[in-house]
Amino acid sequence: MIKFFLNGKEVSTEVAGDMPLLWLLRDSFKLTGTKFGCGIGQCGACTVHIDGEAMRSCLMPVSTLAGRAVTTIEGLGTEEHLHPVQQAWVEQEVSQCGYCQSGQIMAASALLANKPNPGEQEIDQAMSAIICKCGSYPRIRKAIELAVKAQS
Amino acid sequence: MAASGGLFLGISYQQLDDGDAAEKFASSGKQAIPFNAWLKISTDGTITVGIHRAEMGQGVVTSLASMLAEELDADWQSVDFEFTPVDRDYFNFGMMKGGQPFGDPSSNIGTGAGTWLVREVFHTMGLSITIGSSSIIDAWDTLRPAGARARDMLLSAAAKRWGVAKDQLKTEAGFVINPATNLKLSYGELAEAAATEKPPSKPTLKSPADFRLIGKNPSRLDDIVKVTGQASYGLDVELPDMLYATVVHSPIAGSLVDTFSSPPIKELSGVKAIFPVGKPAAETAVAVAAENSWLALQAAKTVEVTAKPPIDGIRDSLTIDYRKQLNDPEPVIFREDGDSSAVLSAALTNQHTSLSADYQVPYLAHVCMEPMNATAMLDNNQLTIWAPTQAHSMVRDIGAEISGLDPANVTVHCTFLGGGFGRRSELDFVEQAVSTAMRFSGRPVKVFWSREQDIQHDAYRPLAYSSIAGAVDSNGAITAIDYKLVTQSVVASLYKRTPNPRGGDARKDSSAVSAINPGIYNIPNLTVSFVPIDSHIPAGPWRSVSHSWNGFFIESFIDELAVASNLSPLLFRLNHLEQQPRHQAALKAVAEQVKGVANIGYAISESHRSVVAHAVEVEIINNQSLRVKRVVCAVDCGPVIHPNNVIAQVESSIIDGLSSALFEQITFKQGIAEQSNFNNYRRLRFNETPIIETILLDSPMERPGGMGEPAVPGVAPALTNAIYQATGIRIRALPVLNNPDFQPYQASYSTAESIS
Repeated sequence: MIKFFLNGKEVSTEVAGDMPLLWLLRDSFKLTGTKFGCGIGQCGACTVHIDGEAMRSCLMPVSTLAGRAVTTIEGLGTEEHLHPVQQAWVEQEVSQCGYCQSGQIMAASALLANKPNPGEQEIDQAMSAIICKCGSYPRIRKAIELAVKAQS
Repeated sequence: MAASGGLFLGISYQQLDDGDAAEKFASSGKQAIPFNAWLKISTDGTITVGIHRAEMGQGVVTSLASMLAEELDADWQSVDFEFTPVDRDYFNFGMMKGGQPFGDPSSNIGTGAGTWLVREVFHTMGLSITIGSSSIIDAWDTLRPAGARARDMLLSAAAKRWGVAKDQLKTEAGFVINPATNLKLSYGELAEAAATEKPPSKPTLKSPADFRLIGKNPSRLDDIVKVTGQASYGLDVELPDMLYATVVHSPIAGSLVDTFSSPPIKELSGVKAIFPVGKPAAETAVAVAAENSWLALQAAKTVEVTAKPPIDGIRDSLTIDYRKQLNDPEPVIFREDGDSSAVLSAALTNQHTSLSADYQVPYLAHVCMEPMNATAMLDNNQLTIWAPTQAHSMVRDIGAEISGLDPANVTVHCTFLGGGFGRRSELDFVEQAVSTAMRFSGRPVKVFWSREQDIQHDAYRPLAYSSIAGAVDSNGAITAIDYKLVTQSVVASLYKRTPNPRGGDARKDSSAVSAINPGIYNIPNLTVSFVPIDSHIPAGPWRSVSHSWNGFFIESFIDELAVASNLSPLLFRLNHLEQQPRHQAALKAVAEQVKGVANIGYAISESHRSVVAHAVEVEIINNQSLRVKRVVCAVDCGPVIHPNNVIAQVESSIIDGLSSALFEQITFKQGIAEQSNFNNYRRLRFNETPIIETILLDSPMERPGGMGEPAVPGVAPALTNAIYQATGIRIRALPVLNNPDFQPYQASYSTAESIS
């Protein structure tokens, strides 16, 4: 049995230790906001926070999670209390199909938590990890700039 | 064009065609007071708009709802939406009006009566699908009258309540108001009484000057659920007692399963069954059903599938020499204006400029971020399908065909789509889900694909090859163009995969040569011919379909003709667009924006009633690598329903167009796709994205055009035309970075980051 913290609450699981966190979140905890995109850590649709860092859940074996804190899009903010990054996303109307946006928002929110005023290169580095087939990149950049302003 | 628009308007006002659909919509989803197939009003005033098209990122949830809400005079803050059930009354006539894939009936038939007949045939067929950038075109004539009718019914109810004449009353943001008394009644208070009023056969539509929502960017209705992870895509369907199944396809593209093998089930943890899926006796894949997704994916790695060899042999990408196919003694001639061959052979003696060039584009995958999937349950002779689909009514039909049930016993729930781009007009994933559900009667089963299966078993944008010859006289006027195309027919390929296939005839697929037939330029002698080729590799609609190749071919060739004639590619285009004021205006708008800037490539295109001009600016960094610096795009799509959505679609199309032109290709070895995931099928990323500027033009057109696709076709030629300006290298085969001619620049692409 593995115990860890999921969106602020302690949880436990008995799935096989080699199961990636992505499938534990989706199939066992029914937290479907974290998306399956490629399964090989290339597209970033499955990005979550682990101990505050943006990580790809499709490559993260459940066995490595003991005692760690996992935050998913469902734990970031709610409709009533949007996280500033989510708020900026709405204001810029970033989402098109929306499928990759959980990953984009988790990457952006981890960046801003660690670097409240990131430079262009830091934004590039953090956000180039996540593919958006719809091409929402220009609006993602604007939304991050907006969130930075809102936080300061 | 304006006259034909009038004909459409006249017809649609009288007919809402919403009989059965209205009943189905009333009894599904949220329970509220029903008005028609697209509208329910709750007593608290909530307006629920039924969305009968696929939301795949293009923003139809918002734009369609705003068209109804506009004519209803609703308060946008009280507007909500739900996806409708499937019914023939939700048929898509807009795809006819968009001119794809069958041509505009008003131009084909020429009379209102003819259009009415075509429309009736369409209604009987009940084809409810989301393709061809047609949602807005169609909704212009359905959702606006639907809103206007309900508004009239609300006015009637208020007039009765107050005992005044209806024409004394007005509406405003969810209220009926009596200006004489200043009394007002909310739509919620009136809904119950209003729903029993007789809807007018010809509701009055607003004058555009009175629009409060159309053209005004009301906030997106699907934003909050998408930023909080609450939006439910097909892959997110979760049902009690559900099984999870993944598939391993027969490895050769488009082939059927011959044999398969796997370790005994009992040795595979959590696996319930391994079995072939798809249409009976035509199985496309082997499914592995398990207690969770991960166990299914793990077990799938142990499954070996062999393919039935394709009847006409296995193809590598270029097993067929496309160049040689041009010598086909009987090409299909789709257009023959004047005598291009005589003019071309006389060009030399006349000392006119003449030129011929061959172009090629590769197979492309769709790579929707949500891999293909569908969920199905067969229970007590009722089949329920949950699908992220662009082919709503065909999902029902294929479900009925495979299960043997009456279509009335098949229920389809449409989810959000994690991208569509044409891929989700296919039914392969639905067939697999239905056949899996038949094996586990009473249990819901979600069938999902890995990314590898998604890329290796797509219905691809087909490889296309073109050979073009042309001549320009001493006045700089094009005298003739001979345009030859070799490719697979997407329509014929699609027909093989639709329910009850009727066998589309590739030789009749005039959509293969769109963009040049009729084309936008004034070309006195024009021959357009097509040699269709058959292949086991499935060809499917890929964002902008045939415009994606013809747009590249013709806009490259026009550029080459201008250069060969020592003329400015921009002026050369403008000179040949004298009868096309919309196209001229779009080109001039982008040219103005990039005035004085070097290394610009232009393109102009028209599709789905929309005109789009592109100007791409490139830069060569350190004499070594390419960078796309800036893309300027001018759009004339007629009346703009939701400007912000249009701009988003332009940005999306430019990034999609650049990514495919620069990097993407699917190649086949022994009939098997050589690319399988994002590590070998490269997509443009955040740091590689240029500055994008969009200009929305005011258009005198009275009807809107589509915008999901029209900004794609011009991107590739504007890019390669810009590369020519910067380097003198003419890229005639895509993708750019795989083209040997581009090797001097080490075939590399510079990110924004590396140059800063």
